[in-house]
Amino acid sequence: MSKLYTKLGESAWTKVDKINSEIFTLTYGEVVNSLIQDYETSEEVNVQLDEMGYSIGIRMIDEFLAISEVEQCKSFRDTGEILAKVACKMYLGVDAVCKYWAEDDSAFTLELKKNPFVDFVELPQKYKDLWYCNIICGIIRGSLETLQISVDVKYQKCVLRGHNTNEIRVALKSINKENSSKKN
Amino acid sequence: MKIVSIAILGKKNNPLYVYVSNEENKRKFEYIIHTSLDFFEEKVPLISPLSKKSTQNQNDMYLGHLFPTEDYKVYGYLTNTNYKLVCIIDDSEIKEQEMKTLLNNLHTILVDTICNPFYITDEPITSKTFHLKILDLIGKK
Repeated sequence: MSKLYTKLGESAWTKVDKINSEIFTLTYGEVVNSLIQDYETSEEVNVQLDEMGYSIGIRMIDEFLAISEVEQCKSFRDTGEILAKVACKMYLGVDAVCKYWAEDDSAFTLELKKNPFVDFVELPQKYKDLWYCNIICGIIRGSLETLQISVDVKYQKCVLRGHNTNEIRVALKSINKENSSKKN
Repeated sequence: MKIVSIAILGKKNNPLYVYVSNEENKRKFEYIIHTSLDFFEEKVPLISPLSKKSTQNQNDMYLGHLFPTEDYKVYGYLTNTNYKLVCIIDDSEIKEQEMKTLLNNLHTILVDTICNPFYITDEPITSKTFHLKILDLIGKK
């Protein structure tokens, strides 16, 4: 199943338009800078980034389903694999993995070894509580919620904070089964 | 060949970063760097604005040997955005190409640091990664 998802990811990656990574990284950097100037504390900026990501996620999911042509998920485990192998590949061009599954498959950790958002960035000491890429958490939360899957998404590790990799913990809260026949 | 000092100066000739291999002589090197500023202004009009060669860009930025002092040689590099890179070495033979490569690499490291969204332009560079990269660059020589 996982090979299928890897293939789907790669074919989706070839179908989408691409932009120069520097313009993307620099633009995102300025967005974060601008938020810092408006909200000043790291906690507030984290919340704002999450909200922005949520708005992006609810719109992004339709495009994702249309281009990637994935089939309906049979379990939360499938959802996690698709997120890692297809979505991350398609939108960020990176290969992500799902690790540390909870016993009942209700939570997992998404690990991104490379992250295009953080090229050139160094967090100054006063913003050491900032999760620079928190927008990704919001995107995951927003897109899954549109599919009636309610999740809690939090950043665990970030290379800007000195860890050696990026890790996001996704925990399932509830699945609204009423409309689940058409969506996954 | 020992690199004794490296400095990066901004558009208004303000020092952004100064590295000295020997802390005791820091004042002396800062004075030499300050003196080299005049030579930057001197060398600039000599670059022809009508050059047609495509490689001219990199060569234009490298100004070469600026001036001799008692024990040292000073080399300069002026970027298109008016950042001045100064490199002071002790009196020994060095090939032009080696110095050009060194200053080009220094320019690349500078550009990477400027791309950091948290770096405020024209402020002194305090980033540890930058400092480590400079030490790395010098270590190679």
